[in-house]
Amino acid sequence: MSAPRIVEFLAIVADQIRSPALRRSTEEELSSHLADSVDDLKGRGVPEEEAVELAVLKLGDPRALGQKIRRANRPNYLRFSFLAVAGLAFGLPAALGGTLLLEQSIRSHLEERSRDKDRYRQAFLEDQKLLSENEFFGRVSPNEHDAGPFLNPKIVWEQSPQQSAPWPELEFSREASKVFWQERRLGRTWLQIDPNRFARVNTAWMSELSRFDHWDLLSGPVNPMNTHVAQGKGPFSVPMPKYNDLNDFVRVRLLQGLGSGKMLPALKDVRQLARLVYTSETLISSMVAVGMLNLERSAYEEALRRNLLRKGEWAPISAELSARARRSLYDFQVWLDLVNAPEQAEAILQAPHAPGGLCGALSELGNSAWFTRSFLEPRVPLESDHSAWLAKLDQLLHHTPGCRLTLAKAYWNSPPHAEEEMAFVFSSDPVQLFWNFGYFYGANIPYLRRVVWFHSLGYTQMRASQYERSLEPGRELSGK
Amino acid sequence: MKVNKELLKGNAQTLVLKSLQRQDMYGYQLAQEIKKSSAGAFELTEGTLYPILHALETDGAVECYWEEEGGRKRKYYRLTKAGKGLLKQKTAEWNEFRAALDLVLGGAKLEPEAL
Repeated sequence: MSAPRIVEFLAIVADQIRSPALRRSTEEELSSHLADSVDDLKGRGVPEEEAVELAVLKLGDPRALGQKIRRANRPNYLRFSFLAVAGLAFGLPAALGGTLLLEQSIRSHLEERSRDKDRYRQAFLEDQKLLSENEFFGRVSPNEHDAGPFLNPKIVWEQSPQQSAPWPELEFSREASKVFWQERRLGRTWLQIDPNRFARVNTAWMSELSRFDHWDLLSGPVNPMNTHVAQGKGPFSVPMPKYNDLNDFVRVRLLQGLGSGKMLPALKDVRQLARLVYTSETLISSMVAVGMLNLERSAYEEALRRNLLRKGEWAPISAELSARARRSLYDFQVWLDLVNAPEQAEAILQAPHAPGGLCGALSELGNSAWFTRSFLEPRVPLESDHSAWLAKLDQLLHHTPGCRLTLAKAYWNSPPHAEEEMAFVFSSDPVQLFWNFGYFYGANIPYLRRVVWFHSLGYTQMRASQYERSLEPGRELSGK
Repeated sequence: MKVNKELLKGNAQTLVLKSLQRQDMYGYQLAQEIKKSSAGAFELTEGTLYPILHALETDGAVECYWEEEGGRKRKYYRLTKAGKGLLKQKTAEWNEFRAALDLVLGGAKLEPEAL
């Protein structure tokens, strides 16, 4: 309706609303309301000009109306806080309820920040391209020589009631760990530690790793991870290698190189371990591998300072590439564009470089989606776009070149949770209350799948500008 | 008799939910329906209605869709499963309140059925 009085009224309402999409839809909604109201009044014999004035007056103060509409489109933070507190006691279901509200707030921000999303997506795609061109991140393993049967029985497994062996051979002694803690407490870098303090630490096993080209965490005759998966227990509690120990072995090996002057063999051993850890294709192991590469680079630079190496004798992974890998891994959700529209996801998936270098991230995505699917499928009909998303993910898990994804596929192709874990989720009354109020009804699934992991609550569109800023010169890098 | 505005304020959401339970409606239609079905006792200020509808949508209690008729696009609201649950809760709260108030005002014995 184009009466000047109405146009003026709508403009004042719109001025109170920041979101362009909300502004447009509110103007349209109120415009048709006013048109209906005017028609109604005219039908009762009120002259047009007077009808317009009356219709506008009945809507009240346009500034207040616009502000109330703006506030009404924000989530109820008090309720979110309640859900967050309930979540501490009842874990995932309350967190999922909270993520629904968070997702609704994300939705309104997304409309405002679409320009930042585009920048984020471009930066993410650039990261993928650079990583896929790098020999470490982009190399596809032939998967012929598995380190699993060698390493899995020897390492310490965390989150596991049993170990592969009563006295794991590759357990880093507490005595040796204390050396690192002491130096850290004194504010000294590990690079300055006298390697003789680790005389009892055996790192000879690291040189044996050169014969392997990948590491399958599920392989080998005795494997807490295998047992866990076979028992139908979920991915959130799956036993994982104790990576802290492996990191300590890496530091000791590098210190041995610095101490003996034989730096190249030490760097090669560490690089190979990092590579195997990376190929074990979990999100955590991928992050740990990047951390190991950072330790390697620090030791290389120290070796240059001590004239133990000439520049060019070794090519460490650059700090910048390492940072790109780390932030890409952290943002694994963006792969299927869980925040953006499906057609934008398609653009990412069809980029010239396949995301084969980020198998760990894809594995994490698969595990998260498996949990959502098994959690929700028996209870609510899946929306059509969610089914298409699951189909796409299924294709990625089974057909991404260079990714074995044995753990993710083991879960993906397995039946839902064991009953005892379901009981944990549904046995508490407050959880049933959420369920009865239908917080998990079908239309919410597209949002649930975006934030299944509790730690994903931190993911918002603000990552767009943060993503770009994270590579600015002078920014502190992790893992040093 | 028109009801005191303060009483209406706390229950406007319930009125909206109940109306939408009967059928999907757009804003102006909803305002007229509430007035009609209350025999004129409730006349929601139109400026109040839209923030209520938007808040219910934000909370997932209603969802909306657009339909065009006679060249005019209208935003329809539909009650969701969550909204039905909320209406159930609000109705139960109101019944409990009303029974307790009746008890105080009328000295009636509190019967389980009254809740």
